[in-house]
Amino acid sequence: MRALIKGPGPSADPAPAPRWKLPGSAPQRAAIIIACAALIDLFCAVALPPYYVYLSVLTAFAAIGAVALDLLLGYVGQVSIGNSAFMAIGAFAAVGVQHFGGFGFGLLAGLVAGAAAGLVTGLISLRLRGFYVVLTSLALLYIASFAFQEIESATGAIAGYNLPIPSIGSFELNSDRRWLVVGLVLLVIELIVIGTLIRGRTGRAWLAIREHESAASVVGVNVVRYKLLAWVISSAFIGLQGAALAYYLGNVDYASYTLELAVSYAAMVLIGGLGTLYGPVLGALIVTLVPSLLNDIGSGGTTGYIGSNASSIELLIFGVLIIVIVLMNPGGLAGIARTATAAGRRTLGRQRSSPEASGPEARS
Amino acid sequence: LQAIWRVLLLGLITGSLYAPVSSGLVILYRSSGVLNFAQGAFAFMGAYLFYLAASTLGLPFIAAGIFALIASAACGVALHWLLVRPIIGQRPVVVVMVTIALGSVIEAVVFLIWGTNQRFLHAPFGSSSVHVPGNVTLSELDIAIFLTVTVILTALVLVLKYTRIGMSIRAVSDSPLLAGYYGRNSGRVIGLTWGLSFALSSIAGVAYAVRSVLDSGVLDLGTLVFPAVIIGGMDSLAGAAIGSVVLGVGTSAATIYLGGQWSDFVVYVGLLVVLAVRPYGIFGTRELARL
Repeated sequence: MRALIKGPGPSADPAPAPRWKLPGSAPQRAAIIIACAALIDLFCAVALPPYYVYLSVLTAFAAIGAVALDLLLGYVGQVSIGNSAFMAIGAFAAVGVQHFGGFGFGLLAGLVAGAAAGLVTGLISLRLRGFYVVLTSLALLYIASFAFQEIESATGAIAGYNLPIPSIGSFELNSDRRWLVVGLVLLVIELIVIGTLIRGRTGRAWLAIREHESAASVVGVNVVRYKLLAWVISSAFIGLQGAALAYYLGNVDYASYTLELAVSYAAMVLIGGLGTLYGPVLGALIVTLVPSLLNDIGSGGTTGYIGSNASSIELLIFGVLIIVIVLMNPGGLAGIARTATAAGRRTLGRQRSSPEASGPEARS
Repeated sequence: LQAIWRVLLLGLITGSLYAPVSSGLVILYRSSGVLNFAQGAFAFMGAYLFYLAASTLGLPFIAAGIFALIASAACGVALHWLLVRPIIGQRPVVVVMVTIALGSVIEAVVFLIWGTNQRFLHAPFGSSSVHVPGNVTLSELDIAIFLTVTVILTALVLVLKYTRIGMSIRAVSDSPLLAGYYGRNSGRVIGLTWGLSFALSSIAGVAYAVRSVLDSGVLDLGTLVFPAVIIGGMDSLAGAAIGSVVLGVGTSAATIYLGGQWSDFVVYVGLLVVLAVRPYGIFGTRELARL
């Protein structure tokens, strides 16, 4: 991956100045991070009912996948709806190496397997554009699903594979609170990595490719390299997410990596806001919470019309939500938030607000 | 050799189930640049409209078919006005997700109205089998489906080629702007193609449901035909028909020689190979990028 980033030309990418920095030296920072983790743990123990801790864990993991997918959908403009295949690849990699190392090794295997699969998909879709890329990712999804099904039946794993409860050092990850910390740490690492790339030369290359591939290559962007890089990074994180989620759920079965799952991730990105870092996180929150809220509403009358048609109603709301948000505001929730803050700024300080005030990342 | 003949015939029958759906996809892609992920839901809805006419209203088979065609064409036109116009020309992500969402809305609406139970549609002509040269037996129904689809698709091609409305559709598909200069209302023509496409899918939906059973299996028609469309090229009607037959033969061959679970695999590997060798399909036109 290093070689991909460097390459010929003026590769001296000036390290983008981080917006904020943890104070102090390295050990102090580590202490701060551990303290934060402990605080989250404590907060969960005191303030959140267990069910909501569970939902938060799911949200954190979903957000990892959604942010990675947004790199492809929003920043590079490569439409992939095959991301449940990458999750499956990560999960099966974690299963495959479970006897050779612990949790960390499993995550690493998921990361590497995802990156490799992403490289292959990227290579196939290099020549393709728009909808053809969608169909490539769809084909990948079906092929992966078939391959894993065959592996499962060949090894006699009828209901998939079980994974043991992992532990980090002496901490056994046996509660949702600890998993939430793991999920949030992974999410923050991902946000830092992708955020750094996006603010630098790489991000500008991606945006150029998204806006116009041929024009980007004319101005000297190495389209092949940056497209492959995006596929590799995005799929690596999705593979990592698949591996981590597999350990959290404790079971890996090909049947759970469906097209619907992939679509729900694309929905998170679209609902939250394409091409933003925090949009997919918001989207992950909504897509994870809405079904369970519906369950809460529907549980009042499980025998009534709503109760007996719960899954259809969920499907209906899901579809309508996507259509409404996309048609009303193609920027998703992030777009709505941006319009709102811009409007607020206009009314509050008319003299201060200059056209540049919205910052370089404000795009429609 | 006889086995090959059998595979070919079976593939032709299966292909005739796919062909209306894939030509519906191609028409929409050409007229409005939308790759429609709701095509399977269109077939699903169409089959239920047929069920409504045949079972609830008690219409005879042919009348119910005509009712389903008209009703689904109306649905297509309505969807175009409500939903499709805002997404034409948007980024592929938006188009894909809105049509997927549209598909789930249609699915949910059908389930909310008719429930999730399996339904059965009965054709009036018998399920007696016919001996075809080469010692193969086919059911009468399969032959009827094949003939119907062939007649309808031929009629479609003739209409597109020789009538005034067909010419308008082709003109708008080639260039909405130029067609507009020549006095074509491109919005109305594109709406028409959505109606047409919905109706075509309903034919496939009804045929599928009469042949086996009306349940959520019909929905899969929409994703099953993507390989056919890719093989044929996304913007060629003849390609869609040929691609459907190739797909049908491919799935039947895989089912007979390798086992049912291999059919999807073979088809999608075929899709990837075609994409890798000829990214624009066998009959498709190469897209040109302009700076």
